[in-house]
Amino acid sequence: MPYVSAELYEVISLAMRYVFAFFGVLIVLRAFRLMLADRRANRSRLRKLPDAGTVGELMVLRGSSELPENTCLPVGREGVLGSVRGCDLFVPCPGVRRSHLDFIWEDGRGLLLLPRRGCGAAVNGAVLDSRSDPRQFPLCHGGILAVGDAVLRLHVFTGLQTAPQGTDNPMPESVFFPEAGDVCQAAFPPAAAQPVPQVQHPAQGSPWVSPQEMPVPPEQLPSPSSPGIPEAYAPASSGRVRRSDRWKEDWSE
Amino acid sequence: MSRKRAAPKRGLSGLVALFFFLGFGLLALKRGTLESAVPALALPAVILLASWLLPLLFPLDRLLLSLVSFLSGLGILVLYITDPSLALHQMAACGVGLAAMLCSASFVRLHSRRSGWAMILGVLGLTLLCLPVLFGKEMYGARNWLDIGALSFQPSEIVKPVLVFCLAAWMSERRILPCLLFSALCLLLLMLQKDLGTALLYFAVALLIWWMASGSLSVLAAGLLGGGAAAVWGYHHFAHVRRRVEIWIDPWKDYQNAGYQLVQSLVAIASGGLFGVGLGLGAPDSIPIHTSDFIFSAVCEQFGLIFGACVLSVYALLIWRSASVARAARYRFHGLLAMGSALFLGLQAFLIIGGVLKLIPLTGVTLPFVSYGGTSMVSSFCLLGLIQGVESLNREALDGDAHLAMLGT
Amino acid sequence: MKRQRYRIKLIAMLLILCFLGLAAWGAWSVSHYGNRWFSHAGNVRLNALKKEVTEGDILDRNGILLAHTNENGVRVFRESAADRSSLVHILGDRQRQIANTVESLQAGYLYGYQSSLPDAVYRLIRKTGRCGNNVSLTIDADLCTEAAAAFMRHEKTGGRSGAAVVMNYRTGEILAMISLPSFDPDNVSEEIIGALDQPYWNRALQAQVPPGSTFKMVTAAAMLSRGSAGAADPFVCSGSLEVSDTFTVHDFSGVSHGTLMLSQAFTRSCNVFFASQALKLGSDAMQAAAEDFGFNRNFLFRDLVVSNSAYPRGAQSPAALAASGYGQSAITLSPMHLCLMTGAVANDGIMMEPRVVRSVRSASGAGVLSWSAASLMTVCEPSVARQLQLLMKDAVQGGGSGAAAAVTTLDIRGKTGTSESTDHGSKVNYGWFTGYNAQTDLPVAVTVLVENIPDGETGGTTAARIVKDIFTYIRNHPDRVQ
Repeated sequence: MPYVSAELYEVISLAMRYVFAFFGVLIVLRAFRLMLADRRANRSRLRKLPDAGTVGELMVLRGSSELPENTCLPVGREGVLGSVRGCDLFVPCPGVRRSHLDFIWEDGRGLLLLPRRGCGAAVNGAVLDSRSDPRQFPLCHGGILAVGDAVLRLHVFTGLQTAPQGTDNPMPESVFFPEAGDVCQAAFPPAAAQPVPQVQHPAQGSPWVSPQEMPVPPEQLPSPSSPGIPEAYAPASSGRVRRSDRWKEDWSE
Repeated sequence: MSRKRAAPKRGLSGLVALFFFLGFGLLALKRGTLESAVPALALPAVILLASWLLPLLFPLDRLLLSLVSFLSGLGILVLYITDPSLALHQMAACGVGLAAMLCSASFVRLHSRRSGWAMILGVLGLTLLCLPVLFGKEMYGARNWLDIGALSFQPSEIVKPVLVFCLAAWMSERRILPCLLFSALCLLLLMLQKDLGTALLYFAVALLIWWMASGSLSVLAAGLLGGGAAAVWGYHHFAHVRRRVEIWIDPWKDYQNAGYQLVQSLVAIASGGLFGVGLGLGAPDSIPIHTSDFIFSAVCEQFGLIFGACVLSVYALLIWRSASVARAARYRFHGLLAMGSALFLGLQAFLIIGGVLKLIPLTGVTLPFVSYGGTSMVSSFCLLGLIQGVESLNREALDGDAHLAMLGT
Repeated sequence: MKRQRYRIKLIAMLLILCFLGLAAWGAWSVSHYGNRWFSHAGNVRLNALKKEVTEGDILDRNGILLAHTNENGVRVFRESAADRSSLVHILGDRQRQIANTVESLQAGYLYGYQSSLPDAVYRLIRKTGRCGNNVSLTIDADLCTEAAAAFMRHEKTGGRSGAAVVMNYRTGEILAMISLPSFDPDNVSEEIIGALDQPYWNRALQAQVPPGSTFKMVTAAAMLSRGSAGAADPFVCSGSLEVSDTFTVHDFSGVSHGTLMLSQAFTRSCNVFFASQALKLGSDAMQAAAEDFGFNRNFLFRDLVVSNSAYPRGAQSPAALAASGYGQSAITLSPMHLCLMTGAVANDGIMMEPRVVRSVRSASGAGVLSWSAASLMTVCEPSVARQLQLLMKDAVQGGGSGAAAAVTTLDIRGKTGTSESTDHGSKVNYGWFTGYNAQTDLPVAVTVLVENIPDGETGGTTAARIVKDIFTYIRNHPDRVQ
């Protein structure tokens, strides 16, 4: 390597200053553009896959004035259920606290529910509170979840595995409504031994509801595209069959 | 419409490689020996290889890899100006760091359903932190180095990924007690080692992970107040904290003794001006500790303020990218993991650059990826590996969803 | 999960904002302080450079060579001792004992540290040795000599310490700056090094002296801008005003002025009037007016390092407030600041940044830096400034206390001041005069401070004569200062 004189090196180095500064700015700008391009690509991908990240839906069997029946709430892999608008599952019903329970999806098992302290929920009649082991009571495809006044049924998208129990039981044996009020408590043990579905509803001091108020059989339930569903939960009008419509095949008899 | 198409992903690593080819080539001209031309060809080749080859073997984020290779290469370049042997050590450390990054990324992928490991790692981390208190070697006023045979390393650096992992795991399950215990013990051990800068970092990251997971403003406020109170207590209690604050307020008073480091750093940055004095010119070795703590002043002197701002932007881009990875994560644990690592890297960079520019008092932490230091490099790459692991899980989940969507139609 | 995502975004944005703030802070501090940091004595680069680079020349605004490095590497100043001693505080001495001079603050340019690419190429091709850039100052060297001679000429001021600042108030150029006692940088003897009156100290920039009656321009500005009733009402001065049990305001030599308006009070410099006006305005209004004029402000000029001026903050006791009205309480300022204030009033309320460097040219003749006027701040409304200008006109031309400064064919306006302070237990009197020429073709402001004047003398009898000499010189040589 020929040895370069100090003055010549100085000239070269002084000239290269601008080149290096230019490179620095170029690298930053290129990285910035790449990041924006990635973001755009992700957004367009999410638009094509509106259900990305969700494992299924919770259909409202019984809600409240703000949560009409047959609303479908998309269920992600992990989140919070509560009555505040920022929750992943927004259930504005009496009896549901601001942050009521955490839920997390476990492959091969189902949706695990972890109620917060002082809150409770019922999975297919079995009562959970903050101390119980969530893995014993997973919510599976077709399972019924009762929180506060609300009753919800989980539909899991095809391709996702849940635990064997519960998938071949489309009709819940018993549904359990905990008492209304701020603290959710189970008033009665699971009614597994009773053959007749007992539907209890708190009304005017009496913890029980009249037996006429039974869950509607699925054939008579309006389809998701009926006008009764609020806009936000209506399926995308792309014409593409949503994955969740597959549940109709499960239910139809 | 073609203008909006994304630039090819390799564009960035190519730019970085070209930049280092020019930089090392210029330095080779200065030294005038044949062996000094070797890094000019070797380093860009390594960078290109790493950015092309590694993502084929392992799902990695190319953008993060390119940005980090830019930072590490910059460190090697600045070290090469003054001492080529240090540059060689740094390159070796980078290699070890890359391996560590792959290890931690694999760890995240394999153990994505957490919990079991958190307790084991937590105990391991605490023991590692205990060791310097018992057998430690004192350096720069803090007793946080450990000598094992020929190697010396800093446990407080190695425990950083452990802290992020454990806190993310426990907080995502809302198990507050192990979190609190672990953080408190870590802080206590660091205070005993008198490594106050790292203690500040640990405290800030732990508090922010807590807040991100729980969202309780009261805890955040209590934490900030407690931190402020601890800082005031530390100011009154420790003499060297007082000295550092005095130097920060007016380093010119005693510019030959106490304020020497800060004064030389400021003088170097002012000498650089906008475009720097030129690579290889100037006097970067007149800055004390220009290899680790004050390497940013050396960069500003050689390359100028514009380039220094670019280095700052690279750290900001790193944080932004990690934040989008954390937001796209499917599970809270992953999100906290990615963001916690990003916070460690970003806050550390902010602390040291702020200290060097006299915005805040000097805290004795190093610039991640750029500063000389094997342990610091390995731990920074480990943290990056955690982010890469979460990103690879995100990609897999997205692919899985696309697959599921096809099943449904 | 949604909320966690939101929090992650929040923290990321905050952290990125912090980084932006860091970059902005770095840019701001280097642009304002960078020159001073670089010129610091601890700069190794500069010391290494000085060994191999020939320092550039320093020239005054008319091209006179003030400092030059000859073939033997010796720095040569002007030929006569009087010239050299009048410029030493501006240029610097050989032992670098005087702080913040042109040789130290502009060392980067003088040694060509930031050498540009064309220069390096020029050097490479021409194979010349390295030499620095040539710095042209705004200073008129002969005016400096004249100012120093004016001090010695009058028996009342000869031999006393003091300072003088001459500036162009429309552009901010400093035309002359002297500080006495001074010395010849070529003949530094042991006596000078240890002298008690500190010849190394640049009094024009660093002296912190009570302004005395010159502060009345600030009180008057406060009155006029806040619409205080006293501006238009007559006031009866009985020669003294009892403010509190321990403090009584007296006029100079106990003169009682009788009934007067603001203009007469200003012209005759009545302490009682201004003390009572200050009491009426209150501490907050006075402090606000003082801070508008630049008190309590951190001066960060590019070419000069000026000590900050102080006005007492917060609520003052009635005695202190009354004394502030006529500039005698704990108020301190430097001659440079007073000149800037006078220039601001003359410039219809806009204070310009003082500049010393006019241009920097490289050895090959290429321009490296050229000066441009920059305004610093607005001290008062233009209407208030014009009223102050009329008050100052009466003070000099209307038979006021500053009559000694009047020069024929020039429109000299200004204000006298006499103040006292205790220095190591003994009382010291200061004589001030600050004034300007109101003509548009010679917009020059002059401030003179004489320290330790005898009892019985005022600023009007001591400093005003020096100002007259300076203005006479400027009138006789107008092309030198334009």
